[in-house]
Amino acid sequence: MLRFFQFFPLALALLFPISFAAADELDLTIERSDETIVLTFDDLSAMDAIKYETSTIWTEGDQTFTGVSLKALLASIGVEDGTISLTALDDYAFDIDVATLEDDAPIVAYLNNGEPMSVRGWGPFWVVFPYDSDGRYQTEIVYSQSVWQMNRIVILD
Amino acid sequence: MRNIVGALDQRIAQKRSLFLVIVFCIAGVFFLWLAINQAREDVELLATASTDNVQWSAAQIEVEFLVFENQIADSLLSPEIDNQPLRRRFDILYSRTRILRASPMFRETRIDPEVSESLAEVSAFLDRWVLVIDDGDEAIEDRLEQLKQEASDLHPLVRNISLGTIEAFAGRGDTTREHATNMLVQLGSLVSFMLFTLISIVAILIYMMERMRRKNSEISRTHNQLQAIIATSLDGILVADRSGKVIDYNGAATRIFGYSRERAIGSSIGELIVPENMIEAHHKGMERYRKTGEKKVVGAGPLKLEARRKDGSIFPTEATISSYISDEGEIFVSFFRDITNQELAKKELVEARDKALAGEKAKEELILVMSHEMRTPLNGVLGSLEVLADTKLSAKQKKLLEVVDTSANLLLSHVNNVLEISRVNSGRLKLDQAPLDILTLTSELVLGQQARAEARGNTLVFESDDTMPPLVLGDRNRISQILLNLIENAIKFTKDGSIRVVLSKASDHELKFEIKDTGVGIAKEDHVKIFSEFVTLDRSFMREAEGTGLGLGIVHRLVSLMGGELGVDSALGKGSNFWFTLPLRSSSQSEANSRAQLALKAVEPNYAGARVLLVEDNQINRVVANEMLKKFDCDVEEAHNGIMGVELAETRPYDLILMDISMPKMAGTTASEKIRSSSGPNAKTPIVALTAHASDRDREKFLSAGMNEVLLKPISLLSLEKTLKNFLNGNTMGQKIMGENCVYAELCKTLGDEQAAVVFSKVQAELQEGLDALAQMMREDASNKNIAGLSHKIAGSAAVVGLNEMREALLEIEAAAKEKNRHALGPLLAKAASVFTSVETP
Repeated sequence: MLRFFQFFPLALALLFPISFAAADELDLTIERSDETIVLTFDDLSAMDAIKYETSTIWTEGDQTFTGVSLKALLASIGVEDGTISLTALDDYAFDIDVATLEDDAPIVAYLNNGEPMSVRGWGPFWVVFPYDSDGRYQTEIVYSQSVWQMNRIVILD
Repeated sequence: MRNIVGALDQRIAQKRSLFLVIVFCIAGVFFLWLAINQAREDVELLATASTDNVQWSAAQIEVEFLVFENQIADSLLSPEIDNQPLRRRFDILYSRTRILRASPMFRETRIDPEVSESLAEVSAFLDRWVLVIDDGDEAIEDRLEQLKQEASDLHPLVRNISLGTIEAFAGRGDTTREHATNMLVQLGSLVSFMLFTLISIVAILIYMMERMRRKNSEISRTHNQLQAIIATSLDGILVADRSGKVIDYNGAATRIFGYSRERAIGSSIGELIVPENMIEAHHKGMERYRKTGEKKVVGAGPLKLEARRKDGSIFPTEATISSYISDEGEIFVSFFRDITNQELAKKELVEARDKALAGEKAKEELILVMSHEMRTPLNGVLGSLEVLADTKLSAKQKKLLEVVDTSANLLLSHVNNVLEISRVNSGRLKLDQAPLDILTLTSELVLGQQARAEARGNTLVFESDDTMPPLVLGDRNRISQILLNLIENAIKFTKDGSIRVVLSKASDHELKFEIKDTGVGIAKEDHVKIFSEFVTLDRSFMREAEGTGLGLGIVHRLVSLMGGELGVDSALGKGSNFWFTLPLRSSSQSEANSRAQLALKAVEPNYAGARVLLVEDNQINRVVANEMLKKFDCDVEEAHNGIMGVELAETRPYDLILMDISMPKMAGTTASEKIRSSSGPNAKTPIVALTAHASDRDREKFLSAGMNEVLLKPISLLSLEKTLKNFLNGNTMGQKIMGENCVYAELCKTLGDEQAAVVFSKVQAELQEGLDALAQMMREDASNKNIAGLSHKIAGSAAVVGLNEMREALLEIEAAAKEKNRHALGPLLAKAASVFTSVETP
């Protein structure tokens, strides 16, 4: 029931199958074969948040990341398997098998140390894992999946 | 017992080795765990990546920079387009640079000075233009050209960064691979090691199993051996547990005790073999042992125990009992040997031995008694002959007398020989050690035998040299015996030949006597035989020589007793050389003393009128002694028995008492005691014992009875004269001294006459000095203590040589001095001096 309300803005967005031409490149655009969903910072921050406290190999010192579970996000638009492509502002892209996603990891982080991320600060969104918590998050694949300056998810079939 | 201890030791050793194995295993497992842990860590390390694709990141910065430059170019070409993409590109570049500057994974790159400088330049550029970028579109458009230029200048620096990074991370992959290889090798070793350990354990197990198998077979072999030993043992073996119940019982036990194996096993020892009268003691002993663990019988060695057979008979056994600890408690093992036969045999042997000893004793007593019995009549014969010889005889009578005399003497010597042999055999012979002049002794003996030798046409000479020591210590009588025996033999077996007695020094302390004759000689085969008793080689036709054959036997024994050697060189028809050596120590006496002794001998004493009491029960002996004494002009009175003797001694004083020992009614010793203890006139008269046999023990008996001397029967004129000389010398004063002088006689006996004389003269000198000193003391008014001390001292010396009167006088002086009676001292000293002047040298 609650879920319905959380995903209310998403539902709203779905009512308008045509994406806004002025979709900010700082919003998260999810492209499907037949539709495009645009989620803003507010949309995401309205969803269930997961918070990580971890260091990363790209930053100095411990960081906190607040974001939405990628798996949950995809599930909310009905994507539970297949492959997705995470694309960033600098055209970096990486594919992930949806089945490998865990409930809590990764998250699509929109806050870093409590602040929204500027592009310079690897925003708008950064797919992060809780690297410090487990060795399985310290592999090259995971690092490659940790797309920063991410603004587009393409659902491949 | 040792085996038991060994077994215990083994068990301890086994436990110890087991313990060690366990410890080793635990240690091994621990180290294994450590190694595995380490491997796991290593694997974990490899499993995680500490870096993202660093080189790609570094290369990417070049790409992003180029894209940024492109964007600048585009913007310049088409001013109307949005500046947003430029901003984007700038931001992307900025963020990338940030990573390069801050990320830990670029730490190594940043070490390179060129890289860090380039990075710093790029960062500075970005920081310069950040404000402009954020400012607004116009700001950017104004400065685009400048931006382009600066960006273009930055190009090589950016390239540096990427190249530098590649350089820094070039070896990374190799290192990682190397690390992985090492880890694999380590793991491989670990596995090998574990495999090896496993195999070793298996090998050890197999070895231990083999050992155990071997041990088991050894044990069973030993067990079988033991069973065989127990079964074949001649001694009965009973094994019992702590409560006394029989748990094993062998065949020999069945034979010894009579119980069958089935009957014995399970029953208690007490009920089976302990005699009824000992059962209680046995149970008590077992109880005590169970309570206190005290072992009286167990392990104590062989014991003589009485045991009971099945049929109830008691018999002696020799038993040993030991114990060992088994798992079920203490087990007793006992061995029993039936020694009934042995005990019987022992008893018989003991009886036989006692009988033999008794027989020996009886034999000796017989010999002694016999010799005494024989000597007594001989005494009579010989004595009478001596007396007869001095009477007027016709030539024929003289001749007959000679024959009788010779025969009687021969008989006497046989009797003496027999006696001597028995004494030597019984070991009751004690050798004298007195100084004697061996030269004189030998030459005198030779002289004495001259007549006999000439009677058979032989020449008899004595030869010696200057090397003879003047005096040696030896037993005069025994040496004389030996020499006489050998000389007589030589004379006996030589006719019309020559006999030489040669005395020489064999070595520094050995003298050699040789009696060489040119007689019949002795065949080699007989050389050994002749020295045994009762052997004569006279079974030949020429029965010229007679003898019991005891002579050489005695000679042999005596020579051996004296520590010498006896031998013979002879061949049949070639004469003989009988030789013997004696180890003789030179006497330390001076020549002068011996000469003095000889001189003394030359003096002719006079005994006329001496009153002699003769106490003798045997008439013959009495007559003989009487006649002899008459020869010396003594005044003889006779008593026929001890009682009479005592009575007579009570009534009138005598100068000498001759007391026979073996008399009926009252023995000579008793009579002497009585006389000595009486207060009669003869209490101090010398008493001489007359006896046919006197062992040393007898001598002591006589002396302690109060007698002074022993005169052996048969009495000869010579021995009687000696006695008279000893006890009747000089005037009555001298008599008295010698008479009351048992002490001096004892001294003579102890030291020998010469030594005693020396002591005596020393004492005399001391007394003289002492008396002079006492006189001086009294003149100078010395202290009473000193006077008493000195007189006491010299009184002691006087006592040593038997000057009792002197001693008493001196003791009186001591007593007076002690009582501080100075007035008495003078007269007492005068008295002592007068006593001293009358002291005669003995």
